[in-house]
Amino acid sequence: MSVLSPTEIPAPFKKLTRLLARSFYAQPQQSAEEPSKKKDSQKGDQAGLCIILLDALVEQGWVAEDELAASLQLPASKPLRTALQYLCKEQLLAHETHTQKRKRSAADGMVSARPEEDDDAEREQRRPGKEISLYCMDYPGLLDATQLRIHLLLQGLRDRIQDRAAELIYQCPRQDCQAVYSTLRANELISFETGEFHCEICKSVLDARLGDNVVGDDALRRQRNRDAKKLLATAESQLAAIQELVAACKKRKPCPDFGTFRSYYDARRDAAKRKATQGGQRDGRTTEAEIEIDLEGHDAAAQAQVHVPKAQPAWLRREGQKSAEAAGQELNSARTSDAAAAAPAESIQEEFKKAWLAQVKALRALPAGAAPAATASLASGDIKPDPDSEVEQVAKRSKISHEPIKVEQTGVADAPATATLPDEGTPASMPMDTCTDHQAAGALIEAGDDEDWEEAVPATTAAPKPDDPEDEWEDV
Amino acid sequence: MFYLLKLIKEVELHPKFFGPNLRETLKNKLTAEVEGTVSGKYGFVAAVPDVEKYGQGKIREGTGFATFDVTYFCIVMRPLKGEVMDCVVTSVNKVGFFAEAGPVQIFVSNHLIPEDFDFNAMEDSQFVTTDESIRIRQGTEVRVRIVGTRIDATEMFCVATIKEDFLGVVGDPT
Repeated sequence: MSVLSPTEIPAPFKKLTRLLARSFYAQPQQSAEEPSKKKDSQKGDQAGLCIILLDALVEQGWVAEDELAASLQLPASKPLRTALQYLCKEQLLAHETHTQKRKRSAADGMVSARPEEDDDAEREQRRPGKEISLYCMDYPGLLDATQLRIHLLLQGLRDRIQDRAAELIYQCPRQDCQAVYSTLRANELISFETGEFHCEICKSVLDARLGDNVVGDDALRRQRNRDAKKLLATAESQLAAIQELVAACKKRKPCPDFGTFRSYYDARRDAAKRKATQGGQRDGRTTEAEIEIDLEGHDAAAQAQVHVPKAQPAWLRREGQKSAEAAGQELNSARTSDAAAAAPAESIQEEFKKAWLAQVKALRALPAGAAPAATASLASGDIKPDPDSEVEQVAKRSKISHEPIKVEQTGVADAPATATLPDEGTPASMPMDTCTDHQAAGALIEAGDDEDWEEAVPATTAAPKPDDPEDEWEDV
Repeated sequence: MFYLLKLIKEVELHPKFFGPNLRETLKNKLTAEVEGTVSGKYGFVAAVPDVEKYGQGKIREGTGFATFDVTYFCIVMRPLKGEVMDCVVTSVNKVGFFAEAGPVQIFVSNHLIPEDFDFNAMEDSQFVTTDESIRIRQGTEVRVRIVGTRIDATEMFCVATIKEDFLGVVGDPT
């Protein structure tokens, strides 16, 4: 299904619509079932109304009934609606009804002091919104309906000429009898003296039922047959123009279709948006420049923050590190001020190098015991646990304390200690053989037995990784 | 159309036939009872070519008659809608003509006779073409297509048409 604009409708479709309007749909016809309520004089008022409507709709897509009436300078009256409904019923038009939501006014939101006013507001809300009837040309429906109608019309005439009904119905002409027979009972009805069919009840000669409410003999049947032949020839000659147009329309695939009102409306809105954006690009303002500015700012800010040291766990902190952190903060503030001044990238890099060297020098100036470890941790980020550090000491302590218990419980020194050790708080699932010093320390931290470790818990997760600066900055 | 069917019938036999030719007698009686009858379900029974099985006879109390369940083959004829068959005209009148194809009676209505045939009641009742080359009268062989059938318990009746290509007169008595 393609959602089209009315200007894209191929010419044969428009021509066919106009031709059909003038040939068959000039004014609303009463169907055979419905009793005719209107007088002939009133009917005459609507002559040509459908032609006007179809001519207008051929040039438009979905259109509201009110707008259509306004554009044609017709009163939005019952005849107009009757004509539109007639065309919908004949499958020339597509119809949709939408309910326009009632706009909520400011007064509705306020709570009124008097209860009657509240009732009024509620009643107002409950009242249904305004219904809008929308119409548009239904070209696939029009094409199908036209083809079917023409086919049925010609087929009916051809059937009448060929007269292929298997059974002929015979009817008794007497008003008080009216018995009906078919040719399947011919051998019972036939009178070989007269060569005619006779009613079994009243013995009167039967008449053949030739068509709809037409009863007659063979001569009448032949006359009707000749009439049908003439009618078929006339119909074929008169419908030739329409059939040519239908054939031309069938060649155009896919058949133009406005789709539902929603799809039509969305397509129109998207097209309008696209047009607007295309117009905007012609102004000369490109978004590229903005992107460049953004990148510059981001780089400067990122470079300014690259080497600010991360908060380290208490058990890794040294005196030298603390001073390095302080130095880093100072440096950071200096750099951010540089970035704020929007210096060019090259000068920032120069500044950064200078600052870096200053930091290294400052660290070297520190006492000799703390300085090497701190420099190493800053420069490479490769932090190795010092054998004399608190961690190692505590781990060793824990190991030593476990051993006597293990031996007592299992009796075998090599057996993995899967039993719970409630005194020390080690997790039961952790085998002590595979447990490294760090893991033991971690277990202790989780258990929270040691008061010193409790303080260090939040810092353990933040192991420094200087190779990945972004991760570093997340925690800063 | 003809069909070969296997059917079962209960045949009653007088005690005087109890003897050496009992089976032959049973078959003759069955054939006499069945052949030429019309069953509403199967159509016209044309012949009983063979008997498959003679059941055990049961003597009826009081009468002395014995009943046998006889399983037999039979050829039935059942005209079907759309079937083309040859038939012989038996009578012609202005509403059409009657014809017979063996046991089947066929009626061809005048609206199913081509338009170029006209009824001529002057001489022998007949349908004659406008150029008088083809005549449909009593005894004419006609090829028809059946368009409607009515099979009662005792008779078969068909309505047919000759208003199609390759249908119509195939042989004339003269």
